[in-house]
Amino acid sequence: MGPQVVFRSRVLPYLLVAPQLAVTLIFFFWPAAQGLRQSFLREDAFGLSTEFVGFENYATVLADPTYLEAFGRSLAMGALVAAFSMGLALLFATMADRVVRGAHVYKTLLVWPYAVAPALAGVLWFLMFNPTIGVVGYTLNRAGISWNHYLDGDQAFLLVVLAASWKEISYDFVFFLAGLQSIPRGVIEAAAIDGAGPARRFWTIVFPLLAPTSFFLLVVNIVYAFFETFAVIHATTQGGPGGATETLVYKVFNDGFIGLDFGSSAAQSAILMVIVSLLTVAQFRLLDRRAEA
Amino acid sequence: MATVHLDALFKRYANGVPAVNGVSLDVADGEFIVVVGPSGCGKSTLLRMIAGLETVTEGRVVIDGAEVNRREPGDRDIAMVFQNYALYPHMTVEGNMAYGLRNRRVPKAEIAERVRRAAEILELSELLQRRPSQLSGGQRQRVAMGRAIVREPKAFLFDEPLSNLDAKLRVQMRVEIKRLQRRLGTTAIYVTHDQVEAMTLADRLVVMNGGIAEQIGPPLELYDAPATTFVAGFLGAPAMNLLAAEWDGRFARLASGLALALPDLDRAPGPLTLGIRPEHLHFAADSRADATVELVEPLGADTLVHLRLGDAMVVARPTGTVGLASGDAVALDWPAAHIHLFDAEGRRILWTPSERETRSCLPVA
Amino acid sequence: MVENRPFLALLRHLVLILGVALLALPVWLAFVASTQDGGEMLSGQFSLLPSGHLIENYTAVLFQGLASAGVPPVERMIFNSLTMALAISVGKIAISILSAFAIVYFRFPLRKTIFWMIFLTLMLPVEVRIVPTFQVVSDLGLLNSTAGLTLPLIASATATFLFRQFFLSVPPELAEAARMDGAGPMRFFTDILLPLSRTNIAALFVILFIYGWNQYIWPFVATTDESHYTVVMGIQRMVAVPDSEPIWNVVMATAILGMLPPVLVVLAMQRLFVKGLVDSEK
Repeated sequence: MGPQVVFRSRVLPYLLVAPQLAVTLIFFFWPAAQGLRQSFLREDAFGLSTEFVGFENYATVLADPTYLEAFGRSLAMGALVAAFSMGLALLFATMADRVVRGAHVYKTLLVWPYAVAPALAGVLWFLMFNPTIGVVGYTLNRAGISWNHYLDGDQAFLLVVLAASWKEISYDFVFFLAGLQSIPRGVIEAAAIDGAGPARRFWTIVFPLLAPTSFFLLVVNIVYAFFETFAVIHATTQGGPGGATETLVYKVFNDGFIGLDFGSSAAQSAILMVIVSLLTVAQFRLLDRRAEA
Repeated sequence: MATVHLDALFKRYANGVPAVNGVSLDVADGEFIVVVGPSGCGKSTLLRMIAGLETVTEGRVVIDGAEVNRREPGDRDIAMVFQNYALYPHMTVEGNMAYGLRNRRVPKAEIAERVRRAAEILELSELLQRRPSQLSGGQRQRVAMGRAIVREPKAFLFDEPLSNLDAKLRVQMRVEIKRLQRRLGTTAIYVTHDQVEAMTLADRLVVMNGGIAEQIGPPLELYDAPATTFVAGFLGAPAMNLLAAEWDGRFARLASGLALALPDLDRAPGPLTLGIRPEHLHFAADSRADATVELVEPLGADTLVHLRLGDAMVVARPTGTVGLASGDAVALDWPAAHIHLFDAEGRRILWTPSERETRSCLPVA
Repeated sequence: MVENRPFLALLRHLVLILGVALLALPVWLAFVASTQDGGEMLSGQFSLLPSGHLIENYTAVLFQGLASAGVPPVERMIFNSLTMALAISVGKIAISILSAFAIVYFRFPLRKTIFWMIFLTLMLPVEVRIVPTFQVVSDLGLLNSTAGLTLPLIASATATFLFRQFFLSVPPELAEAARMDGAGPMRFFTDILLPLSRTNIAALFVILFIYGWNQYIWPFVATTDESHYTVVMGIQRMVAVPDSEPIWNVVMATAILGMLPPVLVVLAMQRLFVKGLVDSEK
């Protein structure tokens, strides 16, 4: 972990890490510890007294059907966002990789949505699908497909997925394109000499070689769908209608800030942290393998 | 210009692995020392201890009479040329050379003058405003040298400075380094694994193996009288033929069944290793068949003849071309003057047969 | 690639053009909406071309805001967003490059512990620790301040990892050569390491600027005073108006203005952006 060369100094290294350490301690460890403590406490309705309740908050949360539903919903959202955005990104990347003329222009025009804030993306898609004044929503209704995401939970859910995927395509595109461009030309030429046509080459050579990139993106997309969709949801559906877009992260916020049930919110945070840790570990494993390959 | 004195240097890493195991060396003022050995023998660690880039576990590094063990590298007044040159990529050639002087607060005018002179010596004057990425491998090497010589240090340290160059350039730069060092008269310690560089550059050679100095001395002395089987096998290409033998008091019996008379060897019976360099192994005009030719490699000036001697392979190197082919049976001549003997521990056995120059160790059937 | 079939080339261009259009559509429609007046919006006559109220609408949101929803002029919110984005990116780069330098180039007691402490911040994004973080920032009296807005977001290890990774790829001989040249650690840092990190710093800056600009939930809870609103969170106040339809043309003008700065940054510095994105995931 680090070159052999080392500068020698007793004080300097501590001075150098001090700012980051201070910020980390005050704005990360302190709140994290607070949160952990709260997850074992129950406050009465007026916040006047607290009592230690052990794992009761956790037990309540895990036995709560709405929590389990939110869990499933988050997973489904992650899977759908990953499928939509990765599918389209892979399509665009394979096309852009082979385009001779205008490649740079296409790249530019495909990456910018990454810069749009999730909250703004949500608002954009909401307007577009607005049943009365949105182009798509109105058209759908005219065509006989009843669309109203203000009332229909599934449609609201789908809308959140679409808005999140739209933004995520750019990210996946960048990585797929980088992955494609790192495949040695010789391998593909060898396959062509072996008589494989373009489609066959893609499925037998290119796709397997992209597998590490795809796994990596899958994890990132799921984490993204867990956390970043929060802004989309909060700015648009507010978890509704009828809780149809309430995800785990939204519940942490909602139960804590709106419901003022700090114990439950903290326990949910802790559970989420475990999930994130597992995903992070999986990601590091993959990256290690990618580094070896 | 200075003397360098190493006093029983040891380096053990935190995990207990010893890298250098007690090396002592006295380098005279202006001397060119080459440290040579296989990778992992501790030669680079030794150099880095002198430079101050590695801490010394035990022993003393003395430069110009003063112990420098605890001095920062920058305060030792030495300069180093790295294998990958370690040029600062964002600085010009001029900036690279001047950096060390600026850090030492040398007056600007003097820096400019020293850089100008060094650039002239190294034929870099035209390239002063270029960046390292705009230079060829050979030019980068020169800049690395320039960075060392502008400092006018007490000693130059070279860490395999030529191994990143192609073969032709390597020969050319080797000659230049030697000429430069002679001209400046600066003490130099040079680490390499290339024995040609070692032989050609060194005033004295240090052959290292397993963290110790196997032998120290002028190159030809080491070549002619290697102190150990390691030195014998390491110097010279192709390597010295080393054959295990059993000494019975009269004959050295090789595994192939061949028995050589070793005149005047006064030694109790026991195992020994017999060595002879390829260029000293001659063919005898005899009808005996000591060995079979396996492969003939004509190199023009001489020929490498690989011979099977029982289970062992030996190489002979006659000058010019020879009329031999694979499968030929040949008789060998073993001139006593060129036979090296080593004991079971691999140490050289002193052996001075009378009339060395003329005698052969006659094979006995 | 290997073959050169005109039909395939055409197909590729077609797919890419469709892709570009698909990605641009929501923004284009938002732009169209932002140029309409209230009547046009609600008339149910859809136009795919901008209407004539562009200057009128944009001047209104920029300099007047939407008082009915308690939203200050967008100009004010853009200024706040800019302050926040710059403070986060500069602050994060500054503290990260220093600590990465210490971790890579020094050996000191507790080095590994500190490394792991910083590493742990990756496990808990701000969305998850938002309630206790709010309490801490509130206890420190930092609500409605730039410090309170940015410091909790600076407490993350991503940049530290990027710099650590980069420093590990710098040939160790450079530091050795600098030491031989009489440079101490800080001189090596400023003379050699910092100039070499230029591209990395720039790439990271692009990513962090976008990250900072697009922050939503933390500014939402950490600012109660509307003069501290940022544009990305301010839009929520415009959309979530109780008991009435949002004034969409105003909302969309705000959305366009709110996404313009980071999108321009990406378009102008595409190469650095891609590098920053790919590097920060290594």
